Amino acid sequence: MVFSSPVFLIVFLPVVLLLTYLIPGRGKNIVLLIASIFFYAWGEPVYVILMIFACIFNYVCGLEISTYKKSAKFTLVFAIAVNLLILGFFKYWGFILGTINSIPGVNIPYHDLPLPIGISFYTFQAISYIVDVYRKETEPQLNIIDFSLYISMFPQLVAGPIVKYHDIAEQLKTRQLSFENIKAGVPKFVRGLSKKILFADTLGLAYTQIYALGVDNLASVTAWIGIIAYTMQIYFDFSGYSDMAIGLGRMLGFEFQPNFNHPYIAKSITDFWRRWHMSLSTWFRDYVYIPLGGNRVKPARHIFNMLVVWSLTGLWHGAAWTFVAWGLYYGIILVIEKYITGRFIEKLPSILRILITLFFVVIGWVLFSSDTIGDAFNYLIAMFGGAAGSNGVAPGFFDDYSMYYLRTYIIPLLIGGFFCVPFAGNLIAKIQRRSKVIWTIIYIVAMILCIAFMVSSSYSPFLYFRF
Amino acid sequence: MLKAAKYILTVLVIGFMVLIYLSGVTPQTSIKDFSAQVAELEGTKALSAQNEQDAFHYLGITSTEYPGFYYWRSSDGMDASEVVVAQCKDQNQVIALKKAIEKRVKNQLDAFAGYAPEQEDHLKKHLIKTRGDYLLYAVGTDDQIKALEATLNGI
Repeated sequence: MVFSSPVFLIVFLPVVLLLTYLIPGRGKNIVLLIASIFFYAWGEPVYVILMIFACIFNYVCGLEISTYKKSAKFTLVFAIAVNLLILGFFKYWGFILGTINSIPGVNIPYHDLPLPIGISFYTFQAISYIVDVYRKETEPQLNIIDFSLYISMFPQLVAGPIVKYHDIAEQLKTRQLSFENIKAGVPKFVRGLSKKILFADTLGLAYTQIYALGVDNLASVTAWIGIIAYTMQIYFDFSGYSDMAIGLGRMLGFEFQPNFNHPYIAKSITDFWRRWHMSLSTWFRDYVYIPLGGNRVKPARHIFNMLVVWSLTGLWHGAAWTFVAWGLYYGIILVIEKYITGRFIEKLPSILRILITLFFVVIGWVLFSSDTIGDAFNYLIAMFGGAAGSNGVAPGFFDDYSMYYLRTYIIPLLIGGFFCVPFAGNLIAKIQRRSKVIWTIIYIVAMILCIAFMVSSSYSPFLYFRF
Repeated sequence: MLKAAKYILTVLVIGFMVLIYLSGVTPQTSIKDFSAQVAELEGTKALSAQNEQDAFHYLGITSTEYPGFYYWRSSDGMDASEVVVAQCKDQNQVIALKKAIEKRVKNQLDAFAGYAPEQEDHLKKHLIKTRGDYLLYAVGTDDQIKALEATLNGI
């Protein structure tokens, strides 16, 4: 079930909210757990078993780590290994075997497996819990219902944000449900839904159509329109989903940390990663980068640490060499920024810094969005006017397709750009302060538009579901 | 007790993983050969082969993204019969294609409901069957569906 589906909005959410508000005390968590399992099983009737396993297994290991001090380290390693084994099997099996088979003479038969939705998110949450219990940064959860709810809570189950256990432990026990929660949560949810339905889907269609033309056939302007559309699509898609998750959490009495902070106005790549998918960046910082030694080591070791972390960040996003290349791309830029260009860039005017950062981010999305490294390379060539053309005629800088896509998508791109920067949010906040009525009307209109788009549109992928 | 529990759970989950893996093996017959077998069936012969634009228009999918994609549709506007044979890149693509086809069936049901009861009945009895990365979708008479299903089972 996805948030942007009629069955979720019209049936599931109202029923869950009603039950959560009506049922007193600890019964709320039982209702939420059942609802979360039902939510997951709706789309993943078989893989719900894996999620239930993750709940019970990590609950048991957390208890064991805190109870048996002597074997705590072994249990920690065992728990992390089993979690990663499951993640690796479902996510990386095909990738590993495919890579091995690319060696001449090797042909091991294999087939890909469907990726259980949200497995990367809930596995990372489980690992953070186990490590925190081992480090004594948090008490183990004694109540299996509360722990299972932490792993499986439906608002952030399938596409994050990655919630750390200690951020939410107290809220699992004591949280207030009031009309104020609904008042704060609904606008956040509608904002996220609008980002997804009105912007991400519209712009995503542009990129899909352009990519389908074949990377060899793209004129420079067409290629730029495509990748700029994708740049906005992935932001609106993922930040929209995070907003919906945070809004839903708020309605249910939970406070999740923000996951995005206008990443496309970042003044450096370091700054970009402080603003993009913040829950993943902090996870890798806390559980990989710092244990490796972080930056309190010699430069060579520091560079190694950064490249390891960024390769893993890339791999987390998907089992393909394009994602590894994308991760390493950022690792290398961050190393260069840290050791070579950082001080120079700081002296440049802000607008120039933003544009330079955005340029590198857009180039990064080419790697991220392409099916193969070869396609990414050819797409980059097309962006700079070098596409050969599959029929022998080079499309050059601008062709009929460029005109068509420019005419069709210039308005959505400009509106999308407007909503990528803080100005739009500030404007809406200003309207809220001046006139609650107009502000409410804006949200009602946005909701009506979303429903209209949902009913009429057949194109609505959630990009981050595949991670 | 706790210590034993974690090992028992691990054994159970590994068993589950093996079962899942074994249940999704793709047939040995190539998609081209499979599609040729489907094209030879009487029901399919009465349909017209469709191209990428048709697949995008009717099914909302980009057929060039699939390692193998074959689509036949009746050229008669009053006939809902159609067949898709596809090989997907992976199981995620299988799931995505299934969803696109389910949406197509729903739209077709909305279009035919009320004035073409026979076609409505065919749509309600539509076939979506997968074997590994292969997917077969069909709307047609019971005999056509049975023949298609047997072809998939036979490869």
